Amino acid sequence: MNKYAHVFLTSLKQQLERRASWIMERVRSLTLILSLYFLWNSLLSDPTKGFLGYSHSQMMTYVLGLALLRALVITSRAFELTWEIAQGRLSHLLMRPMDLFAYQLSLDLSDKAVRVASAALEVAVLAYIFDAPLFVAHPASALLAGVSVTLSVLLYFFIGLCMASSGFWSSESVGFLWAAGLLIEFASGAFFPLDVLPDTLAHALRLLPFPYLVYFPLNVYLERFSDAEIAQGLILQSFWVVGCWLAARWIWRIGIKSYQAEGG
Amino acid sequence: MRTLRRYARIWWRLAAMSFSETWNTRINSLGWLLGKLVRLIFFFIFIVAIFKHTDSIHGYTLPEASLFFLTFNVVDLLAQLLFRGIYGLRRIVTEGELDFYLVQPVNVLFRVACQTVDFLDCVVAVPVLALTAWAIAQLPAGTVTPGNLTLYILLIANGTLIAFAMHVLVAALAVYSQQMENAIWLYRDLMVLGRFPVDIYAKGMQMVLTFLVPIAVMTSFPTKALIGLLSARWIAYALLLSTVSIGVSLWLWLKALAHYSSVSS
Repeated sequence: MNKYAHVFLTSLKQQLERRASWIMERVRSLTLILSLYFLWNSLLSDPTKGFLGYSHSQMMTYVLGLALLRALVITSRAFELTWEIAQGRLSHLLMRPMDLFAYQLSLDLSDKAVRVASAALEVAVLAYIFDAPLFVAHPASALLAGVSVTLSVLLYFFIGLCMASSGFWSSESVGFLWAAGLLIEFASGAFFPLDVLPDTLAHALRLLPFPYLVYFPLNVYLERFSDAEIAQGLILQSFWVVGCWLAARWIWRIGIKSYQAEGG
Repeated sequence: MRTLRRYARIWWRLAAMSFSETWNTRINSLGWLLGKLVRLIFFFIFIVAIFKHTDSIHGYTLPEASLFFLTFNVVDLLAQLLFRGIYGLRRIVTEGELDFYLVQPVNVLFRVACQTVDFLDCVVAVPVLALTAWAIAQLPAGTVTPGNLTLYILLIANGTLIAFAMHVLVAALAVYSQQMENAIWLYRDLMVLGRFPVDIYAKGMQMVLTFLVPIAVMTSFPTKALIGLLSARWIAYALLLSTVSIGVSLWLWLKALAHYSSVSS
C-alpha cells in the first residue's frame, strides 16, 4: 500500500481513539450551527419573503452547508507544524523518506474524513428534526460546487502551511495563528454570508482568497451566480490555489534553511 | 473584614503573577488579544449589518439585540476574569500540585479559581462596556429606569454566580474523577447559544436553556429585565437558581475534596 495511504489510515485510527476530543469538536460545531440556524430562521419567519436575495430554503441550506464545509474545508492539521517547529520535532519528519506536504495532506484528509462523516450525520438529524426546507440544486450546479469545494480544500491546506511556517521565525506565533484563523473564518463566510456585511467591507474581502473557501462554493450550489460569474470565480479560485501553493513552497524552503531544531 | 483584605491581597498577588506571565509572552498574548477583538468586532458588525436589512430580530430592535450579545460578553468576560484558574485544575490534580494548595492557609477553591487571571479579558472589557453603554443609551426614552438598571446589574451578577457554580461543578468532577478536562470546554461551547436572544430558539431548546443548562438565565434575563420584559416570577426563579446551584456545587466540591487521596509520589 502507498505510504501516504498508510499515514491516512493510521491517523484515521488515532482520530477514532480520541473520543473526548471528537465529542467536544462536535458540540462546538453543533452549538454554532444551531445558533445561526435559529437566528436566520427567525429573520426569515415569513417563508414567502427573502433576505438579501436568499430565499428561506437557500439560507437554511447555507447554514447547514456551513456545518459540512467547516468540517471539510476549514480544518487543517498543518497548524500543528508550528509546535513541531518550535519544539524541534520537525527534524523527525524531515528525515523520513517522504514529501512533507503530501504527508501533511494525508493527515488532513483523515481528519476531514471523521469530521465530515460526523457533520453529515448531524446535518441530516437537524434537517429531519426541524423539518428544514432544503434547497436542491440542479446536478450541474452541484457538480460545479463539488469542483469548487475540492479547490477550497487545497486552498485552505496551502494557506495553513503558509501560516504554520511562522514557527520558523517565532515561537510565539500561536496566538496570532488563532487570531488569523478566526479572521479567515469570518472572511470566508463560515459564520454568515458575506452579503450581510456593509458593501465596502464585503467588496474588500472578495479581493482576498478567503471567500473562495466557503462563501463561493455554497453560492455556486445555491445557484446565486450566473454562468459567467461561476467561470470567473473558478478561474480566480484556481489562481489562488496555485498562488498559495507556490507561496507555501517558497516560504517553507526559506524556513527550513533557518530551522535550528531547538530542543530536538 | 480582615479576612476579606487578606483574600484581596492574595488575589492581587496571583493576578500580578498572571500579568507577569502574560507580559513575558507578550507577542503571543497580543495574538490572543487580537483574536478576541476580531471575534467581538465581527459579530457586532454582523448584528448591526443585519439591521440594515430588517427592523427587528424576533421583535427586538438593534439596541436590544446588541444588548443581548454584549451582555453575553459581559457575563463571559467576568467568568473568565474571575474563575479562569478552574481551566487548569485537571493538570493541578494529575501532577499532584493540589496537595500544595491543600496545605496553604487559604480556601482551596479560591486558590484554584484565582490561579490564573486573564488580563487580556480586561482589555476586551473596554470595548464591550463602551458598546454596552452605547446600546443602553440608544434604548427609547423611558425604557431604562433606575430600577431596571439595578435589576440588569443584579442579574448580570446573578449570571456570573451561576457561571461560578458551573465552574465549581466542573472542578468537583475534575478532582473526583481526575479526568473531565473537557467538561469546562463543553460549558464554554454551550455558552455560545447565549449570543442571541433565547426567544429565537425552538420551544424545547428554550426550556433546556432556561432550566437544564441555564444559559438563558445568565445571558438573556439581564437584558430582558433592562427593557422591562422580565416578570417578577422569572427574577425570583433566577435568584433561586443561582442560590441552589451554588449550594449544590459547593456541596459537591466538598464531597470531591473528601474523596481526594492525592496522586503525587
